[in-house]
This record gives sequence, structure tokens and C-alpha cells, in this order.
Amino acid sequence: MSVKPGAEVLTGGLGMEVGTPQSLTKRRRPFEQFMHGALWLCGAISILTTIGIVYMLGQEALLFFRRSEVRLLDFLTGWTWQPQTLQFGIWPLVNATMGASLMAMALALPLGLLIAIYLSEYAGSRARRILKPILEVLAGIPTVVYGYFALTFVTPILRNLFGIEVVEIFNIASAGLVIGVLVLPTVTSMSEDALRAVPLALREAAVGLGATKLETSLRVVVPAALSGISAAFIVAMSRAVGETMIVAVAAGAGPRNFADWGEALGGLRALNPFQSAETMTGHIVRISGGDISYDSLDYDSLFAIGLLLFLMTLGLNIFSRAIARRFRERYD
Amino acid sequence: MRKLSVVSLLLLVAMLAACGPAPAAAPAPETEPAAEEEAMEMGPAGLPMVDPMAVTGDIIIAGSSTVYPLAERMAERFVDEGYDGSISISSIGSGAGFERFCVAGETDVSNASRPIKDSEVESCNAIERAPIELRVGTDALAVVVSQDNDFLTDISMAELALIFSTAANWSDVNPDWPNEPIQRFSPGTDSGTFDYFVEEVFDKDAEPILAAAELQLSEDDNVLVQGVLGSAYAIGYFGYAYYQENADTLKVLSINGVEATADNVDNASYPLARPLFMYSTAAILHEKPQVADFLNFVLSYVNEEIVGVGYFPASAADMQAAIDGWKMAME
Amino acid sequence: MGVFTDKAAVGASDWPQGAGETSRTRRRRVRGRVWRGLLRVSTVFGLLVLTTLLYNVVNSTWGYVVVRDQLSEQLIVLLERSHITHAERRVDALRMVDGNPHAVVVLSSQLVPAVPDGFRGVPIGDQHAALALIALVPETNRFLLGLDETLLRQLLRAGSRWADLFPHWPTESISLVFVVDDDGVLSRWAARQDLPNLDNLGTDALLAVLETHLSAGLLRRYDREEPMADRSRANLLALVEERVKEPEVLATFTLRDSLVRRGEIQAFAESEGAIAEFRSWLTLGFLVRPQSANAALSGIRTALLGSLWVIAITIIFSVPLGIGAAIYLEEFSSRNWFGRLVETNINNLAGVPSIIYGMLGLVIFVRALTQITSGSLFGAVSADEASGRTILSAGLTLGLLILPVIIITGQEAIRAVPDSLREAAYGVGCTRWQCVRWHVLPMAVPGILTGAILAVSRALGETAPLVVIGAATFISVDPTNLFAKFTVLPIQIYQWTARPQAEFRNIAAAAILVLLALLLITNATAVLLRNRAESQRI
Repeated sequence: MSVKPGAEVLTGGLGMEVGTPQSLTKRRRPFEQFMHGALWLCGAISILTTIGIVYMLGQEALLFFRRSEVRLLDFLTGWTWQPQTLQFGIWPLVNATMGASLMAMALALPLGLLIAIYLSEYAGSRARRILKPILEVLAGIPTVVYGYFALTFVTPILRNLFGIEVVEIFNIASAGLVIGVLVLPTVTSMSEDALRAVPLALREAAVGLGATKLETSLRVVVPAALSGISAAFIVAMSRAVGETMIVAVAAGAGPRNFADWGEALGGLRALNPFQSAETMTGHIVRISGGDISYDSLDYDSLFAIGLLLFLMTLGLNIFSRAIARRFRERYD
Repeated sequence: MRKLSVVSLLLLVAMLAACGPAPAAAPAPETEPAAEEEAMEMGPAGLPMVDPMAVTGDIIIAGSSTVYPLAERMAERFVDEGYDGSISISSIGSGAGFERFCVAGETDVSNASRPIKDSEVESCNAIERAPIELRVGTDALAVVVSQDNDFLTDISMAELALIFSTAANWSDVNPDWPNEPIQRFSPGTDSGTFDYFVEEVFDKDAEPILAAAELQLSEDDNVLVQGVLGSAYAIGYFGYAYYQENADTLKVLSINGVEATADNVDNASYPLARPLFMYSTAAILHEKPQVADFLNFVLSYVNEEIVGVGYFPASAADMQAAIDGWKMAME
Repeated sequence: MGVFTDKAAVGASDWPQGAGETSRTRRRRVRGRVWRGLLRVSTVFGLLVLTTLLYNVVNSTWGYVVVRDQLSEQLIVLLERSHITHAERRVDALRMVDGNPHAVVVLSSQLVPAVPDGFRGVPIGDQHAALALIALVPETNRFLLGLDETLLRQLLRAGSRWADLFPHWPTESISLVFVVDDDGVLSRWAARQDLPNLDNLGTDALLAVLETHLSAGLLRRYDREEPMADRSRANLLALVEERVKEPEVLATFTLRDSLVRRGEIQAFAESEGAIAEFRSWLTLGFLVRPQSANAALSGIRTALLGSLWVIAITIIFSVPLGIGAAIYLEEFSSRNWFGRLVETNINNLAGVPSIIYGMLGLVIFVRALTQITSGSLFGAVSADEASGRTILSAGLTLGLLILPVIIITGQEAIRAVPDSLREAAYGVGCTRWQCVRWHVLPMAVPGILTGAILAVSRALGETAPLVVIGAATFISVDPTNLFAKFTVLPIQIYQWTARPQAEFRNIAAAAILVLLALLLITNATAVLLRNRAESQRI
């Protein structure tokens, strides 16, 4: 690398010229300040976006909660979402969202991480250069395709495995697994980058101490890359929570309602992954694209759902960040 | 296969101009026909003949995804016959379509698979857009079972109401039918199809159908087809076109003994046939003559195209009402 | 850090050795091998799942289609005879007859579940044959009691009067109305009779065919392009082939079926009087044709152009901004409350469902910034026609949508650059920006590009936010500037998969492959850059 303009102090020193040292007071560097400001602006845009979203959702959601038919307590604790009969309990939707996302993560996290370890630590550089772009391109298939994949390919497999009586044609399991496939490239690609970014010296040290390749990978490289891996998980989880079309096609278009908590949790019926259910995003997209009048409660409720979803992902992020920070290791 | 307009079309071919109904003095063959003379000419529906080649300006249409294929077909024909302006159609659902039409006021035509609601008319009026309704066709709902089902060919509305609500097993509806659980497939609650079904079968009360066990909802009719195909004890309802495409594997039921045929839809004896509409306003028709021309074109030729899209023509009386509506708006 | 904390090297005498250690080493090796196998299996499994997905797409893009002309040449010729008219629907045909006792409606038996009032049904030949026909004769007609194929063929002969067939029949001329329905029974019946086909028609006759079957508007357009009278016979014949025969897709088959069940498909085609041909739904024509309501003629030109425009705006907007934000957060922001807030906030934004971004884009870009996004500020359109539902709004909205992912991956990549590099840079007197520009960024490029690739891939496949922003589903003119109305590939794919007709699923699959190719091209650049950057890394 060539010598940079800022390096004159050093060259001066090397030249052994004994003269008055250059002034060490901070010099004004307009370009530096400009860049600093510009980059700050980039960061600030995200804040503006959030303010925009919260303001927009909040304003409309307020309209919804102000309606006399809606009670906030019922919204937050109810197990029946049936706008036609003026029942607005959010839990059936939340439950389905969590079910589908957990299912997705249960597939994508281990599988994605294992593939990433393989690509980064075991596979030759040629294999990696071919496989990685292939995985990434698959991230661009429109999700409606994944939806039909779930319905016409995964659901029949599940029905054969667990029995037609057990598995409904629309079910959360099939949708969840396919969301897992959808986010697999994200997990793999980002984790692989994180693993590869771990300095070679660490691996060399481990191997030098007699660790096998596996021990090096699992106990040295993975912990060192945990920050990046957790970022991958967060991005993937967030995308899974927000995924729409797959659930719309494969999980059905009706919320799985229960009378109350007792009925929902009795026998864990609310948790059955083989029944149909509707997620929060699925509901938003369905109603906003349907024939229902914009001047209806159902339509207004979308913003309340959106706001809640926003708050949920916020909580999720804060939580997972905290976890990641706790286990993070820094090497240099 | 557009023979119906043969007579009027012959008049237009330049080389046959001599055979025209000889109005006034024959113009020189090279010159374009004078504007007022063209306005005289009548299309097949008794509306002034439109020459798409002479139409300029843009047309913005949005609304129902059910009406979309029909609107697309008509727009395509409009372009095919020489219109070279910009016409855009957005398939966003009837509700969102009316929102753009009545609240934002940014579309020229709103497609809908249900009649406009009073509250929507109010907000339309609030921005001085009194909507006019043009009936463009009919979408029959097919009540279907799998071809493996050997006990059903006809069903009464009362039975339908039972099947889609309280009955758990088929035998609960009719003792002759098997003692097997009913698997129900229905379009989602957001769809005009669901709304219409509830209105006709349950007298506008959605509660019974929503309370039904084993009710599988999907917003995509192709997905419902998959569902009904899955079991001999499944039943579902959706747009007739989806049955037509899967006629080799599905069985359509007649309702109260009336089959879902073109004739029965035409004479309104088939009970599950919902209307398809396009909405606009008189002011738009006047301000943007291209919109008036396009709607005129739609009303004139929609019956030649609608079967190909999978819907049924509106009855002659409804069609005439739409044509009269257009004429009235233009006065 | 188990390896290090194991009772490892403490002193030379404690150096692990002996039989116990040997077996322990072996166990570790075995474990290593097992895991290696597991990792490999996972990779293969992952690839397998994704390949299956791709297979499903490819499977629908190529395969046999069974096509049949709605109007056979023989029927086209027949319909030109002066005493034969036709209607598409039975009701129309009955209306045309309207009590005329000398007119007869001929149609497929399948179309007559019950004989309508005022008519007698006269079956023609064997009613169990595949192509059974029936004649509907007005009840006022007292002479035509039976009809067989021979008599029908005589009836078809032009110009004859009833009395020409049997002297005691009326001297009125014969009038036949054919019901030419979509099921094409009459058409196929005609094709099997020994009747003339299009080859025998001259220019005038072809012209007459076009006038019978084409709409007035279409004829007018053709006439203005080139007067019909001046056109050659070949030209007219081509028009008839293209516009009158109306080939109809009866069935489509997947690639797998086409390879495995070829015989059955051919047999099916023959039984339907149709042709089975192997078709690639993905052709050059598919790329350059405009949209159509007819799947077989439809193309994706407008959608492809729209996607290219939108994604270009998205990249220009979000990639620099995202990298800038990542740099700011990692290198400039002191870890104060603002930095933490921004960071949490960005992570959160990554999880906001895309449709909410659509709503946000609607409020900000479409409504609040109409003047800019519609181009009226720059004089692109007049102010009263300004609509913010443009390519620019869509690109910016998608940009906002993928910004968080770009920032997060960018941050990770920058964080992974060892501090020693920065310290060395500062040590030689670099300013912060110089350190970032010349030392950190080059090291972080591969990771940053990975994020950009993933994010842009997602943006290309998005549907929901664009629908809210106002992407059209059908447009008649190509988008040519930032302020144009537009549609994009995923919207077409989505609306096609929801159509009842199976052919639309085939073109949806073809469009998906186009989208993937587009993605590959966009990504190829980035991947090349990444590979180069990686090979330069120490």
C-alpha cells in the first residue's frame, strides 16, 4: 500500500531530521468532517424510517382502538380473531406467526450453520465459489413459488409421513419448513462470511496445539465468529417472521381460533403444527388485497396488527442482541 | 370469431365504402371521415362506434382481481385495434380499488366483484365523484366435489347451508350419505366470493359458516381446487372458471336441480351467480373522453370476450341497463 | 475453548501418551470423521432441497402442449358459404333463427342437454359418437323430420333450396346457423368430412374470411397499416392463420411427463383431434412480447423492463447509503446512546414485514413527495396529472426495505477486519476516513457484497410492497423513464399463478427462470468482485 498523505509525520521521523516537530494540535480537515457528516446522515436515515413507520402505524392503529367495538384488553389477550363477528383477539395470529417462525428456525439454523462450517472449513475454495452463489441466487425466487412448493411438495410428504388424518392440507408445519428453506441461503451465506473472517492465526494456533479439524472449527472458529453468526440468525429470523406469501398459500387463510386460554393450551391444541392457521403477515396481505371495504373495522385492524408485529420484532431483536453480546468473543 | 358485428364492420372497410348506408354526400376516399359522421355510426350495442386508433390519453384502472382478467382482455383488444395510449390496470382487490377511486380519487375506472357499499358512495361523493355502475359480466360460483364422490350430484340451498355450518358428518345432512366428516373448502373471508356465498346461502350472516369445524380457507382458488381434490368427502365452492379448468377431476353440483350452464346463468335461474362491475363517474367520462371510449368499447364487445376468460355474460337486461347508464352519463 | 483447557501440556512429563491417550486420539479422530460426514450430508441435503425447488420450476417451463385450432380450415371455408352463418353461443343462434321455419341450427349434441322451447331436436347420425351433432329445427318447420350425415352434407352445398333436395319441400332457400363453441366439436366434425380447405381460397375469399371473423376495429387497424385490398395472398393467409384459427391449448404437460409418458400424450392428442408439440415456454419471443390475456401469446417485456428500472434505482439508492451507515456505525460512532439506538433500530427494521414498507412508501414517496417522485418538479408531467405511483417511488421503497440488511451485513464485515490493521493505519498517521477508505473497506468488501447480493435478490422478488405503492398489473406502454407507470416480474408471476388456466402456470415458471437469470447477471458482477477481493485478502 502506498504511503498516505497523513503519514508525513512518520516519514519525517524516519528521516531523522531534527527540526521543530509539526504542530500536534488538531488540524481542521474539511473533507474528513464532511465524510463524518455524510456517514452520520446514512445512519440517521434508519431512525427516520422507524419514526415514519411508528408514526404511520400508530396513527392508524389509534383509529382502530378508538372504535367502540374494540377493547384493547381483548385485543391483547383474546384467542378469537373474527372481524366478521367483531372479535379481535390477537393471539391466534401471534401464535401462528411464532409457530411458523420457530419451525423455520428449527430447520434453517442448524442446517445453515452446518453448511456454512462445511463451506468455510472443509470444502475446497472452488466448491465454495460455485456453491455460494448458487445458494444466494435461490434467495431471489419469488416467495409465491416457495408457497406452491410447500403446498404441492412438502405437504404431501408430511401427510404420507404422519397420516392424512393428522396433517391438514393447509398446515403451519409445511409453511414453516419452507420458510426455513427460504432463509437457508441467508443463514448460510452470512455465517460463512463470518467464519471465513476469523483470522487464520487462530486456526493455526489450535491445530498447533493438537486440535483436530473438527475441534478447531467447533471450539475455536465458531465461537470467534459468533457475532456474525448471530447477525445472520437475526436477519433470518426477522425475515421468517415477516414472510407472507408462503404462509398465505400453504398455511390457509383463516385464523385458528379458540374460546380462551384454557381451550387453546388444554392439550396444547394451539401448538399443533399440522393444522391450518393464519399468521399476522398473512392476514395483513390477505385483507389488504381482498374485496373488503377500506371503510371497515377489518381493514383498520391491519395497522394494529402491523404495529404489534413491529413491537414483537423489536423485542425479539433486543433479546437476541443481548444473548449474542453475552457469548461474543473478540480476537485479534 | 367476431361475426356478430359483421354487418357494421363491412361498412368500415374502405374498399367497401360504396356499400355504406349512403349518408349525405360520399366523402373523398382519402380523407378521414368527418368527426360528426363517425359519432353517427353505431356499434353492436347501440352505442356510438369507437375507433381505438383515434383515442388518445391515458386510462387508469384498478380494483378487483376477479374482474382483472376480463379488463386485461378488453384492454388488450383495445390496444390490438389501434389504441396506442397508456392504459394501466392494477389487480388489488375491490376494497383497495374503491379506496383509490373514492378516497384518493386517482383512478378513472374501479373494477369490483361486488356492488359499491353505501359508505364508499359517501366518500366518493365527498370528493365529488358520484359513481356510476356498469355491469360487465357474471361470475358463477361452482359448488364442487371430487370425482371420487359418488353420492352427490345435486344439492339444495338448505343442504348447502347445513353442510357449510353445523353438520359434522355427511350423514347429518342426509341419512343416505356416508357417515364421514365433511371437509369444507372456502375462499377467505376477505373475498367477494365468500361475501356473496354468505349473502345467498346464509342470508348475510357469516357466523354459522365461520363456526364450522374443518373449514379450510384459502385466498387462492387454485389452492382450493387442490384441497377438494384431496378427498371424496371434501366440498368447496369457487369461481366457475376454476372448475372448468379442472373438469376432468372435479364434479360440479347442480343447485336446487339447476345446473351451472350458460343458459341458466343467462336467465338467472342458477342461484349462485355474482355480478362483475366497472365503476366510473360522469365527470370523468366527460373530462377524459378516452375513458368514455374505453368503457363504450367494453360494453360493446365484452360479450364476445367474456366466455374466453371463464365468466358468463350479464343478462341482456343488465347489459342494457349498463349501456343506458353510459348514455345517461354522457348527456 | 476446550482444547486449551483440557489438561494439556503442563510439563514434559505430563505430555499425553500411553494406551489411554492413543485411544483418546482415535476417538477424537473418529468424532472428527463423523462430523465431517454430517457436515457434508447437511450441505448435500441443503442443495437437494434447493434443487428440488428449482426442478419444480424447470419442470413447468418445458414440456408438451396439446394444441387444437378452434376453427378448422374446413369450417372456415364452410362459414363463407352464403347460406351459412354462425354464432358463438346457442342463445345467440336461436335468436338469429327467430322463428324462421326454413332455418336450422346445427351444433354439438353436448350443448343441448334439453331441447329449447319452440324447437325440435333432430339428431344427426350416431349420438354416441365422439363428435355427435344435433340440429335444432323450429317447430314451425313441418318437413324436416330426420337428418343424417349425407343429407347434412347436401345441405352444406352452397346456394341450394330445400326443394332441390326433395321436390315436395318448400322452394325457400336453406339457411343454416352453426354454433361454433369452444369445445370445437363442429370444427372437428368438419375437418373429418371431405371438404375444401384454405388452399383452395383466392385473395377475395381470404379477404371475406377475415371480414367474417375479425372485429371491425382490427380490420380498420390492418387496413390503415396496409390497405387490405393491396395485400398479397400470402399476407392474407398469414393473417387468417394468426387471427382466425385461434389455436387453443387443450392441455399442458410437465417436462417429466413429456419424457416419461410421451405415448399417452400423443394418444390423447389424437383422440382430441389435436396436435401435441414440445414447447419451450421460455423463448426469445416471450422476453420481447407485451403482456396478453392469452397465455400462449403473452410475454414479459413490460415487466422485465419495469424490474430492471426498479432494481437499478434500488441499488443506486440503498447500496451506497447502506455501506455508509455501516461505516458510520462501526468506525465513527462513539458507542454512545445514539449509536446503540441506531444499531438496535436497524436490526429491528430488518424484521419489519415488507408490506409495511409498502405502506410507508405510500405515505412518504407516493403522497408526501409527489412533486419529486412524479417528476412534476422537473417538468416531466404537468402538476395536475402528477401521480407518485412511479418507478422512482418503487425503487426508493425497495431501497428502504433492503437497507437494514445491507447495513447489518456491512457492519459485520467491517467488524471482522482485525483491529491491528486500523492501529497500523493510525500508527502511520492516517486520519479516520483514510484508514477506512484504504485499509478497512478493501478488507471488508467480500462481506459487504454478500449482504448486497442477498438484499438485492430479495428486492427483485418482492411483490407486496410494490402492489401497495401502485405497481400496475397490466400496462400497455413500456416504461421509459423514472416517472413512468410500471409493473414488475414478481407481480406477473403472482397473478399468473392465481389464474385458472394451466398454461399461465407454465409462463409463470418461465418468468421465474427469467427472474433468476436476471438475478444471476446482477449478482455475477458482485460475485466476481467478491472473489477478486477474497483472493487479495491476506
